[in-house]
Amino acid sequence: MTAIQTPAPVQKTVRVAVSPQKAFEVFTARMSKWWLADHSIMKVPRESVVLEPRQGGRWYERGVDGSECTWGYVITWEPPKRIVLAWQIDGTWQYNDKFVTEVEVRFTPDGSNGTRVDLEHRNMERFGEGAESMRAGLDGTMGWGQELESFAAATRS
Amino acid sequence: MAVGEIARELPVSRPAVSQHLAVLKAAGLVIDRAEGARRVYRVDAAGLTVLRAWLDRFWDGALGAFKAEAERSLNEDN
Repeated sequence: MTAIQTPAPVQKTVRVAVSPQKAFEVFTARMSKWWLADHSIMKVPRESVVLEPRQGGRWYERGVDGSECTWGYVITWEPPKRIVLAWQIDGTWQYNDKFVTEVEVRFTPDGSNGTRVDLEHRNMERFGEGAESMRAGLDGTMGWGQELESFAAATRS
Repeated sequence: MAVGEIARELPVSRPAVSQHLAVLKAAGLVIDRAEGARRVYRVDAAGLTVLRAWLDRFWDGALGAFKAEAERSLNEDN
């Protein structure tokens, strides 16, 4: 039996030419403006992404038909320095209230009017619980289906 | 599976299979190990590497879009 290795957290850093206050505001209150449109788990087109601005606040997307789909909640709310979100979309691309991975975002002043934004998505190993169903999810259109299709197409060319 | 075994089942050359396997390995879809002189590939059973690679790319894209929006909104405010 192979030992299961704990995957490293996903860590990203981006520098933005705005103040930490502004960066925090755009990240949290204007998520609808920047969250990638094709990254949705709804069946209908998305109307908005909402992050309720307080500890325990809901994080969800709303469809054009008014339906809502929860993504998680706010674990830590410390404007304009830090936010920790619970990402509760499991490996089958479903909201699961028993499943929590953490996304921590830190906003640090960088230069006179810039901000360094450090993001860490951790607890990757929790995605492994129920690996079978997760593989099924990853095979679907939301996951690696397209990549595998193009791979298959490439092998045929 | 070794490269030769995979190539036998596909209508493509062995070098082409090796190339595609390198892409799949980079994407975290397969794991390889040396077995004597040959390299043996298997699908990443836990799928964790795959999901992690997906999230890695996802956050790259999301933060890029966030940066663009933050800097665009600043210009708008001025």
